[in-house]
Amino acid sequence: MPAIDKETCTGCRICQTYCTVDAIEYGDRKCYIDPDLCTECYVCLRMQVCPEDAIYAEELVGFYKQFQHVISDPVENHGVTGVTGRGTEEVKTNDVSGRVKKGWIGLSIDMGRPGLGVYLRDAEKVAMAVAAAGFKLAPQEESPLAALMPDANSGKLEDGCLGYRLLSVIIEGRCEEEKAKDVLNALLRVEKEIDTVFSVGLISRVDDNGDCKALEFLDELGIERPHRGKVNPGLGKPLSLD
Amino acid sequence: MTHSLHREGTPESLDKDYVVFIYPARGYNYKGCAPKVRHLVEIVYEVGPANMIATTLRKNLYSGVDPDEVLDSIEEGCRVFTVFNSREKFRELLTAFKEADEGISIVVSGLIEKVREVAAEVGLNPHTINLSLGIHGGTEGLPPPQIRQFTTMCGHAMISPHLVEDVIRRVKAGKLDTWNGSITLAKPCACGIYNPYRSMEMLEDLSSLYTVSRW
Repeated sequence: MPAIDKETCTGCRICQTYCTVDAIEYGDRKCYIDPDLCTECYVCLRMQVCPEDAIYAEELVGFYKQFQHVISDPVENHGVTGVTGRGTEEVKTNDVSGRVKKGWIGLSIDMGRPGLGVYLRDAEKVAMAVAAAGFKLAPQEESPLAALMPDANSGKLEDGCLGYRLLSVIIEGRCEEEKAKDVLNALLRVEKEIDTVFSVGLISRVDDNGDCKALEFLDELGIERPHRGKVNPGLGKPLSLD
Repeated sequence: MTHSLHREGTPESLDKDYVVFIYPARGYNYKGCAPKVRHLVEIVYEVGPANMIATTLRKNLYSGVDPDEVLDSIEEGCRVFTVFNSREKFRELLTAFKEADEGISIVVSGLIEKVREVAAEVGLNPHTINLSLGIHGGTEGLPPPQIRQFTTMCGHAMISPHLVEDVIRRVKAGKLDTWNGSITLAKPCACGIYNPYRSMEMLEDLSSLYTVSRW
């Protein structure tokens, strides 16, 4: 993890400007990193922000600490999914992988985003809420968070990881279209029980007429129609027709 | 990775911001994808991106990297993230990608109606869409929207709100111009999709009005 050498630090506080989650404190004319707040994103190290070169990396001890860094730092490649960032391809290759098929809805619930960070205990609350509403959480091959989830049906995480803070982590999976309203309602309820934010991406196949059923039930739930989105125009091969 | 999905800002500003991904699919078309990805990146350079990164090199357009160095770095599994600052350029790109027919997944992130409009003009019917349903939970802890329009251009949140405030302050004080301020903000974004042209316009809009204090 990043640390600041007290002898070298001049207390200029430049590093505080770059810290993504306010984890660098200032006292006795020196800066220091609060290990409970640091998400291991490594911006301070990678950007070499310290003019005195006082910031250095200490060994990341234990699986959870390494997981925290790999997910928080988008430069790192996730070992199981082989994908950088938060480690998931989600809709980007859906024209080929067919991960979200016709009649299904995918969700990517981006915990801690934008920029607040997330303790895994809050990610667990949300994962358990949507799983109970019929959401099928993605397996380890598709989603790094599943590595901490002994039972994907419940969404419960390993107890040992709950106190770790990440810059963000994605809960993803899918459900049949008819269950989507229940899952979204579960999200609208659990948002009041967490100490951070999440951003939601709703993934859907588009029919041959260019229509998307998901928009209809957003109206029913009173959720404002989205104006931003990602479009996969189906240029990948072999094309998934499911 | 949903790091481009939830960008914030005015519709006018977001209309100058089209993020495009070139994405080989693991387990499907990884094998032999390198020359195809390389061809698509050559097209990107011809159209003229606002920013770009190849995951095999991780150097954005403003790092002083030579295009040949980027092209030569491309190997199996390389993904490319890029951003364009006009609808016209995006249309030109999508037309060329369709003609190239390399069979690699392409994803476009932007204002949904605008992207679909361009796709229709090019003769493409979307296969899948991912819609941003916005931010939920304890939103009172977020920085103000004027700051988030910068920070959300790096969806991995590598750009600290304090850095944005610092750049605004330096622009206001005449210590930094809006272009170099934007390049400063683009640097922490490891995915190369921070749009410095859009950022420059936002800094111009804000620097005359916005007041920031140090902490």
